[in-house]
Amino acid sequence: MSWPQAAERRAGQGAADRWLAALLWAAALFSSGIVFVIVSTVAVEAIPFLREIGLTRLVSDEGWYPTYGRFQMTAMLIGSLVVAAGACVLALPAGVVSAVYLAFYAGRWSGRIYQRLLEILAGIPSVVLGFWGLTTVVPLIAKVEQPGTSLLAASFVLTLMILPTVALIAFARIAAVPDAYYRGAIGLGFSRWQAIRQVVLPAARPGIATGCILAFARALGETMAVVMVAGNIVQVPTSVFQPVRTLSANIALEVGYAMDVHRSSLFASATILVLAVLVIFAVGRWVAREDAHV
Amino acid sequence: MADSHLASADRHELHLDALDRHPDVADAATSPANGNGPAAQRQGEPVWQVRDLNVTYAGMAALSGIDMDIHDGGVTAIIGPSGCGKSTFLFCLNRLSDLIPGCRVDGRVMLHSHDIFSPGTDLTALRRHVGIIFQKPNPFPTTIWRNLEMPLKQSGIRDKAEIAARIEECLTAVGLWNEVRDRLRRPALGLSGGQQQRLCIARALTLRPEALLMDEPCSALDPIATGVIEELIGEFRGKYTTVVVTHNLGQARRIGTDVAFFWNEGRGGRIIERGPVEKVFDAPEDDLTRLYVEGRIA
Amino acid sequence: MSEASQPLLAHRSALRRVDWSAPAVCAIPVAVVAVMAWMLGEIAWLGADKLSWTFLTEAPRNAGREGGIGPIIASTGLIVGICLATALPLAVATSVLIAEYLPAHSRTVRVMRTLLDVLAAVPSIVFGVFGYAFFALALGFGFSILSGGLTLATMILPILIGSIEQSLRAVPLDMRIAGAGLGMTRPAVIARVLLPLASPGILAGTLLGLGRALAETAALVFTSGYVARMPESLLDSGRTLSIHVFDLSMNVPGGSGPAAGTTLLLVLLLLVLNGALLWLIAIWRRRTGMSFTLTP
Repeated sequence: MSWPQAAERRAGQGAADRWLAALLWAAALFSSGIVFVIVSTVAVEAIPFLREIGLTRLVSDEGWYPTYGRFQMTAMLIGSLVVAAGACVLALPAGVVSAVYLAFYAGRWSGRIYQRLLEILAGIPSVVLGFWGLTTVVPLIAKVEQPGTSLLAASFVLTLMILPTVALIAFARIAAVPDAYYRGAIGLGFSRWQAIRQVVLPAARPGIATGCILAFARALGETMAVVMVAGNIVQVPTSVFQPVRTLSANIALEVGYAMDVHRSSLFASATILVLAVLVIFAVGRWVAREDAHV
Repeated sequence: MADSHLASADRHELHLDALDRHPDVADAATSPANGNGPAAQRQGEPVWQVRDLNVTYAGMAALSGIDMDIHDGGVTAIIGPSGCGKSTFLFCLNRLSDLIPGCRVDGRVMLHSHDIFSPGTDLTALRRHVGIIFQKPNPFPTTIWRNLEMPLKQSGIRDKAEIAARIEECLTAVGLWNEVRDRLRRPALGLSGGQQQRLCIARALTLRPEALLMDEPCSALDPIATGVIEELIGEFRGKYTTVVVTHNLGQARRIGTDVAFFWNEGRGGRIIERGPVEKVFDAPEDDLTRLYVEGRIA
Repeated sequence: MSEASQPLLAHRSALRRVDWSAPAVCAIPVAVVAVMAWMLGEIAWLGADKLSWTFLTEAPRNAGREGGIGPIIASTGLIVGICLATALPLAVATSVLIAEYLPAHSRTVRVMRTLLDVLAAVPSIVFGVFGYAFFALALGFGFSILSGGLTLATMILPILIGSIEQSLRAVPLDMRIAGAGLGMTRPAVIARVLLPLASPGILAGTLLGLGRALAETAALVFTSGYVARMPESLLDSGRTLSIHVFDLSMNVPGGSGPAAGTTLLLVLLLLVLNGALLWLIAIWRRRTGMSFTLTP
């Protein structure tokens, strides 16, 4: 689809073309370079912490009391992972089944409507989900066990946030599986579900896995909805009804007033967060590349 | 054959040396002297002189050693089986070959006395001077009017009355004016295939080109639309220098004044035979040509 | 409803036995739709009686428990405006370079796209602390509408570039060759043919970015700040609708009424945006005969 670069340049499209190209290059280098500015800005702010406290004390300190010089983040790290994993437990199966529904079970209109609804759900602000969680879900959970703001509430709200991502990506991948696979399986006497389960889903698996990985990364990084419903107590939860504080929630709660090393420690946790998300992202990429070999 | 060809080429070049002082291609595009009128007077002069043209796509030969003159006001039909480099040749005549990825061109393509592959050639002026029509009609998906207005505005014509006059003139020239005069502001894609193709021809005509290149202009059209376009090309004789690529021998015979037969034996397309249409079809010198025009090989 | 779509296959399985997978599979969408209806219904129920002309225009009083959200709507508009005014030109320029100047599978394009994908994957709270350290402190913009808008701009850039590049690529190669064949320069073809043809896609991408910007909270808390007064300059702090919802529900006991009203407004805005998006795509399809899909 693009202009054959070298030839047109040799051709001398004129000064206007060269000027425009220079301008576009400047803009493009700026846009694609911003990510370096972001990561380095955050990492530079984390340097005082690394110099004065060091990474090991993130694990070895006896708790998170930053104003008293105690910087153990294990509990929050576990909190982040558990909340995100909890969301995935619900959202991944529901998302994949939603995609299967869209691809094989939905009628013309019902499928279109469901897809639109998922797109709307994907665009609902996290603060709206947090508000609803706080006014509706938390009181319900509190009826079972106090205080209501809990790991369960956070995971449930996050489920709604990442479900559309999983469903829409999985649907796209399933739709890309050649029709012949499904027809072939049906032709062999498979039932609809058997054909999907045995033939279509395995064929789409790497793409679906990528979608799931991206959804997990999103859940790990999500902040405001979690801050609103998770209770934000720094502890390793022993039941789903206990409050937790995630790494990202911690940043949001404390950056506003943190000073000196405490402030730097929050930038350190932001760096950890961004690195974690990037690693997950890279894994997703790698899985997607496997997809290309199938 | 080669000797006589070179001799005639020399004569033309001697003659064209005098033309060097005339405006080059860049100026010619905007000069009114190159409108429809004078073309007829110069009937018989070569517009293009192609010398030893070699084209490769990513190292694969597409055309090798093409020498050819294209005469003013004539309709030159390029025939030959697919893959023989007909379209490639056409694209070299206004350097749309630059848009083909991996395409390398050697040799000289002289438009009047200007080698269009020489550095510094004003491509914009060249392409305004030499219009091109493609196999598949390609109107811009906007209104009929905007399709015709855009190239005019791009070439610096701002006067509303002049734009309107040229649009009517060109639509009339392709016989489309009466069919679309009431729906000029409607989408061009709402037209039938044949109408779209005529719109594309009109669009090329708005710039008052000296020459028109047509790459199988009827192959996507039904027989009736094809007939209309063929008739149109017939009317272009003497007004425009037209080069038509076609795989349809009957069409070449109906519309052509000159014919060039291309053939590719695997080392790039070559010209097997060329000359006036009657000679190539009725008294071919080459056996291959005879077999091809008789439909015995393809 | 599901049987209608696959009459032949449904017939085949009906010969043998009832297809129990259908109700099982359909249960999930039913559940999801039910939860969505519950959520949206609850928000509408809680917020409907708050939404009124005075609520939309008055300034908040008593930490937002009373009064309205006039200045907050103004700040939201300014922040989103700055965000789009910065991000859109950058995104158009970048996409034109990628789609029209660079070979589609070149290394440069791959590297740029990867960097933009990485940018899209960065969590919003990280954008927040970045904007705080970079725009608010290092560049000295303070907690301001300008800092917030610029932070959001960096955040929506990949979304804009993705959809603009896609809509440019959806324009057939024919159009470029037709333009060149008419003696138009590449900048002219881009400006007069390709961008107008891609404009509904560009607009759709802009709406997508706008929705993301309206929804954002974490990136703004430490950049645009919390101040709920009517902003007098771009260097004033201003809070957006989503920050207002967050602040009322977390920090203001008794603030859930106005919070619900603001939430409802936010949801309605996003629904309108979504509708506009669909309408735009339909218009484009009808006008050009080309299809356009926005992939997730």
